[in-house]
Amino acid sequence: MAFNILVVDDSEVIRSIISRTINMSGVPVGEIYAAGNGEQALKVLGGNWIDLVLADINMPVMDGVAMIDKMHEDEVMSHIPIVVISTEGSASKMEKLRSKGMKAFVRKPFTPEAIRDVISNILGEWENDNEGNGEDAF
Amino acid sequence: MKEMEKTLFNTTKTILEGAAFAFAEPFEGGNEGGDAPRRLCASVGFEGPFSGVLTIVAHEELVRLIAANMLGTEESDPEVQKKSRDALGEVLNMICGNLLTEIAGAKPEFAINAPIELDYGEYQRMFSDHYKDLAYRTKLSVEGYETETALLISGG
Repeated sequence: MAFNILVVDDSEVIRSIISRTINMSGVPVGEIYAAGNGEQALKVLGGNWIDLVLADINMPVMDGVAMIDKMHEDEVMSHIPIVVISTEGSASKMEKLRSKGMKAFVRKPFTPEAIRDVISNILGEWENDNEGNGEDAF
Repeated sequence: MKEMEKTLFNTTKTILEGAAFAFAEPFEGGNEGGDAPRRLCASVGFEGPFSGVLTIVAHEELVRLIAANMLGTEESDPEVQKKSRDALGEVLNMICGNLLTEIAGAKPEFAINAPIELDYGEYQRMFSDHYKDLAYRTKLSVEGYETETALLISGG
């Protein structure tokens, strides 16, 4: 099974780094979609099957918090695991995002290994869960 | 070096080294910054328990090196030229997020705006216009290029 992943960040450089890391991660990847803000991301999510969202918080037009709020309100999107990759360090903000579906948080600057490990863990759990071997991953 | 300037220096150094593999040490003088037109400037605003602006000024050749290192490619790659300014903004964004945690701890929430590019004149005006605000500056030699980060705290 190949996973479709959406990368949401207003920085093209960060989108390139994350996409390259995903491709090198060993995770079976179908498509990697990209969006420059939350609004663009919701459009991608509305028109494509996405297995994992990797999103920044501070973005113009619609930030990551508003995007996660919208995803949380949607029956289908609320089941998609979200990894936040951000410079944000506020513990209270992260706690709020956890309650709305954020599965993991990676602080910038990150190492490729940190991204690879998070993706592997989440998609591995997802795969196990769908095979009936998982615990309560989602 | 004052405590805040030390924190600014250390955070800038850590981010440049961790995110862009660009090695930094204290700037010890010389004329490495280049002419004003060859300097690139960016700023990022933030709001929270206190508000302000963080800026960076770096030589364009250093910015190209940073972009190449972040992208894992050569400086001659056309993508590097296209994405250099974006790379500088992203480095500044990372410095800002990590600096605010260093200063205020992990509890307070800050809203960090998207980085914007400034010309060198705007950068210099920013400091003269905000003379009453608290300003901290640090100069580094990054891969031999003079680089400056500055923090303006304007309220809160």
